[in-house]
Amino acid sequence: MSSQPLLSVRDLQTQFVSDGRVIKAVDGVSFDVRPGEILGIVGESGSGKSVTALSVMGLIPWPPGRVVGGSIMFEGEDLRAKTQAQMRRVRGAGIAMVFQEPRTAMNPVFRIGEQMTEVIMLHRKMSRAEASGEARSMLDRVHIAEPGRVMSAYPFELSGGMLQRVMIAMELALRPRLLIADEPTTALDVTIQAQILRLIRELHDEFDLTVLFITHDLGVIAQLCDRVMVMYAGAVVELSPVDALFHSPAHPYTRKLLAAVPSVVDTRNTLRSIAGDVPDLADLPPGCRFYDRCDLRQPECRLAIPDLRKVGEDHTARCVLPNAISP
Amino acid sequence: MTDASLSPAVRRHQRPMSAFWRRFSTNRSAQIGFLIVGVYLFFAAFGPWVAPYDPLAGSLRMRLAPPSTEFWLGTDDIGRDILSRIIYGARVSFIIMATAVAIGLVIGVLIGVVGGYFGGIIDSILMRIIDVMLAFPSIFLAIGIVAALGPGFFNVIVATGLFSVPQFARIARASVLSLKEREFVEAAHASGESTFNIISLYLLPNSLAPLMVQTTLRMSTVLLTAAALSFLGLGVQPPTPEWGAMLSNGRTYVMIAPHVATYPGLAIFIVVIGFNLLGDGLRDTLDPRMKQ
Amino acid sequence: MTNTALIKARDLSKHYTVSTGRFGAKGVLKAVDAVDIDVHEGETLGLVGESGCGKTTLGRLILRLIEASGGSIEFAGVDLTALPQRLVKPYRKDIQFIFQDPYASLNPRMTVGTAIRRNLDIHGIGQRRERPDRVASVLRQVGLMPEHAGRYPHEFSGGQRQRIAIARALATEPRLIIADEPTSALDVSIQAQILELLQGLKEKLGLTLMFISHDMGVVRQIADRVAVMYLGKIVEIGSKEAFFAKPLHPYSVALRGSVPVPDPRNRETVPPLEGEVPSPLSPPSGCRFHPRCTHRMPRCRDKTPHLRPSGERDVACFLY
Repeated sequence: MSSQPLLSVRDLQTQFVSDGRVIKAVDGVSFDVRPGEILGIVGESGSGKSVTALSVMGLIPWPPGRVVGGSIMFEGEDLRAKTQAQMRRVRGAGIAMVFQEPRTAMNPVFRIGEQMTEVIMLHRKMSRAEASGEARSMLDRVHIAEPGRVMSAYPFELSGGMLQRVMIAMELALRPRLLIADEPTTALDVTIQAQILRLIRELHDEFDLTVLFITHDLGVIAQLCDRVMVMYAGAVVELSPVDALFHSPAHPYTRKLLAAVPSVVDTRNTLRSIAGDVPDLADLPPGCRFYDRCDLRQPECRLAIPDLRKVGEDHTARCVLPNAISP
Repeated sequence: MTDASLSPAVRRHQRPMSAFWRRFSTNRSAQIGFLIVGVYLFFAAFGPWVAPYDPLAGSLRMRLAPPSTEFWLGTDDIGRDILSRIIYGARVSFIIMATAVAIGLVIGVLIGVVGGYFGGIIDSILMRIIDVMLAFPSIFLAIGIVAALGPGFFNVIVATGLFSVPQFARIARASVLSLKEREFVEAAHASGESTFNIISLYLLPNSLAPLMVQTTLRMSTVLLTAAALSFLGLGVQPPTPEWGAMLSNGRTYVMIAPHVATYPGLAIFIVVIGFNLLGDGLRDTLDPRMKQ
Repeated sequence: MTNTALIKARDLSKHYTVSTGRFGAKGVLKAVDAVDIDVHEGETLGLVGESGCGKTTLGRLILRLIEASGGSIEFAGVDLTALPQRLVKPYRKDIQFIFQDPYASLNPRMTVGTAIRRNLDIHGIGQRRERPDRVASVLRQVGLMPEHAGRYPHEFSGGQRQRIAIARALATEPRLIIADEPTSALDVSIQAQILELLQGLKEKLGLTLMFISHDMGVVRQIADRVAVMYLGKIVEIGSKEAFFAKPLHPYSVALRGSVPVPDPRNRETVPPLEGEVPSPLSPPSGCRFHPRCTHRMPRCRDKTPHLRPSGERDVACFLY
């Protein structure tokens, strides 16, 4: 709380239009990313976690989507007020992003080395030789055994895990202040995921990198993040330090989500599922979005969306009775 | 265990037809196409009741009369009312179109499905035949077939039908090739469905959208080709009121009585445009991903 | 009774000839290589492994959705591999398959009721006029309503579609259900619903379940026994309790250790497994895991370890 947040999002609203229906993909999301932390955003499909990241990056495609409200302040500057050209400069040097499918983020007809050198020259104003050296040393940093061989390879010649390392190296070569990672390990096998997670943690420690990490996997959150934001149906339901989220979750959704995760070590033997489905984002109920699936619902929950309330140190939850729930 | 599931809020998602209509209703060119085709089909169906005159009976006194209140579009070289001939011609061209496209559709889909589903040597042979057919410009192919069979109404249908086969075959084959790798087809195999049922219940129903689009677009090509054959004297023979033949007949008088050639030409033009707009519109609404 | 093998696969292999790209050179891809595996009557066998390990191929081989290159599969004492496809059909009633992606495994142009009913029609189950009742009853069994029979798949959510796929499989009263990653396309909350449903149905109907998954946590939830595959071979197979208490094969240990544990107080400390899975076109000699193994010995490079009993389970490693 002491230092100024690096990224500050307030009341973000992003909507999509599909077949004449307005889908509120992100509806009133506010959060800060503090310098040097790893903030995780966790949620199921349709929770708005990826749309939140794309909104910050100014990458919502119109049509069909558009940021319709709220502010996105990065290092004190309002990103929503920036032009496309200015945003291009922010992306890369200011905020870098790695995606779930690194293959689609690379140009298939250029060699890895050419692409990395090009990007580094453009953003860091280096000569080709310097940029090429920088690319090589970054590949080395992400533990690629033979940087020379990888640089002369085309993207299709590398495995998914290897490409994700290359993406991370390429983004970090621009020395961004914030790295947004959108499900970067979801398409990978667990053993490779473990390598990438370890790498991100290492780079975080070494470069004092601030990371916004988006995932559907609570296990990944627990292993990697300092703080967690839980999203459900386009809204933040809980925001908390990672330890508190797993050991004293406040929102009924968080609690149920935790109980639904199968684990390899847990002693508890039955999973508890969450009945029902996520509400239709084009036809949201007026009250709490979890109302239909909640065991602890109160009559008032149906009337209005509850506010985020403080339930502990640095810990808020969007529920009328967070304190009534014993952990 | 079941309490979790007994409240499945089935998504009140639009049914396929209503989604189709919503997209269709926002597609202006598709609507124009729909309108033109609708009017055309009306004349094809009810021509004899709405046409003001007998299309075959003329009076030499009235030959090459310009458009007037009596003959809205004028008369031709033997004094027949052009409007009536165009209205009757709608039926003639529709019969040619519908039959020819049906022939192309049935044979083409059969070839495409068999080739795509069974693959291997059968597919190679069928596709080589199709490639040979595609190697000829379609009008030459049609002329060749008619030349071999002799001119006439029936032979025009056969010629335009056969030259439509390759297009349908290619589309059906492409569709089957992509569908047969899908999990629901694998699931059908897993539960022991017969080959015939896999084709008729799983592959064909899912190929309908591209085939419908092609059917509509093909209508205009067939209409144009049939008219061209008649124009060249290889198609429908006089005195049958066929638009291509009328156009051909009118070209002799194009300097002294331009209306004789103009109006049949315009009819061909409008109906071709109509089917093309409708076909493109259907493509956009049935499957937005097919949009280029 | 519990130890009768419903499925007994011996020396089962699937080799593909693939062109390796340069100058039409051909290579042999051993997707499944000389696998012996039993599925016991009434149990849930969890088959885990990473992508490309052959677990999906193995599931499809048992069903004869793809033909084996070698080896045999016995189902309830009958050698399925010896039968022509035509005579396999009666067994398709007893062995049903549930696919990974419920968005792809249902025919979009067929109503839910028809999709389920097809399975009855194909196998001639019950009287024609009783079949709609059977459809209604399996829909109820999976937690849907009989009214849903008239709807099309796109009107349902992913979890509901997977219920429909399960209902379709149940319609023929199978003895064995092979489920290939049935929850990996679903969100965790929905995944838990489907796992509960499968578990409940299995107990109620006395089914045998072969559950293929890349997710160790899911397998731990649902399986009675666990088999781990790596590059076309089974490296370890044994009871779930023993396996999760202490996996033996170094690959099993690494795989289990790689799964992120949802507890920040239990952060991983062991270094993750290094390197990547080698290409199945040119698998390492000897033990296929030896290049990545921290316990490798000289003989691992030359000799292939076979599955051998070690306590309550079988391990293919020279350490045991």
